[in-house]
Amino acid sequence: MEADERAWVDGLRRGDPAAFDRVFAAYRRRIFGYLVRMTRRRDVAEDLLQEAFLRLAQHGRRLEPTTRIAAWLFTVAHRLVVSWTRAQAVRNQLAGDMPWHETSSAASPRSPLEAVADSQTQLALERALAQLAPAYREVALLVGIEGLQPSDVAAITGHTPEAVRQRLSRARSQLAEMLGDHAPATWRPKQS
Amino acid sequence: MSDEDDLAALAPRLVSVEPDGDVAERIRRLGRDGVAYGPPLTRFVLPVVTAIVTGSYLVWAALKVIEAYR
Repeated sequence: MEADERAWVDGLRRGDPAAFDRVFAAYRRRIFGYLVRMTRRRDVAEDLLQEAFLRLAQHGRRLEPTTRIAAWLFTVAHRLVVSWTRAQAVRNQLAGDMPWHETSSAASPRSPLEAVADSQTQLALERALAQLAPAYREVALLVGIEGLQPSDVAAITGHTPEAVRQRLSRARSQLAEMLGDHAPATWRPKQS
Repeated sequence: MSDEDDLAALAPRLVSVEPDGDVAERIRRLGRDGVAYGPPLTRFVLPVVTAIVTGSYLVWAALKVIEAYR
């Protein structure tokens, strides 16, 4: 645990608003990136981002001194995504019974980030991530992009570390296939 | 290279994404208030009021049942 993070946790435990500012500045992009790529909707991601940080604010005084904020925030964000996904599935099912039902944007594999991609490589990557199954996308984001340990991701998602590693391997294989020439040069074809 | 290393190589290639400035400011403000003052009072008051109302109703209902069997 880094000294900065320990100081932030201490600050939150004391009810210091400046500590919240620093945590928000340090983690808002990471949590928002995870949320927008998991929900594929900016508006929903912003709502869930607010909910995640308000929960941190409300639980601040009850945090353990050894709390790792990244793991704590990603755990909350994961639970919010799961709840939203379940609610969305029910809404889609109910709407599917209506004659005027149209496929919602959440059901589409298109990411809102595709529209702001600067290059073909970024576009291909965002599109490939959006097309991954949510379970694979989540571990790819948390372990690969966010740099969390598989054991941390196992605790966040409620799976075993071995299951996380399997999903990671499948996510990597599928991404390699979808990215084709846009895959990093360091990627080598895997023998399976 | 491990799968973790391979996927980490993608991180710099991702689109940089930020919440809307107004949204971020609103969350920051609400968060600061939440840290400073703790959870809103309604969060504690509502369950207590609900418990009192429900408890009173159950007592009243139990008394009525007892009264009916007397």
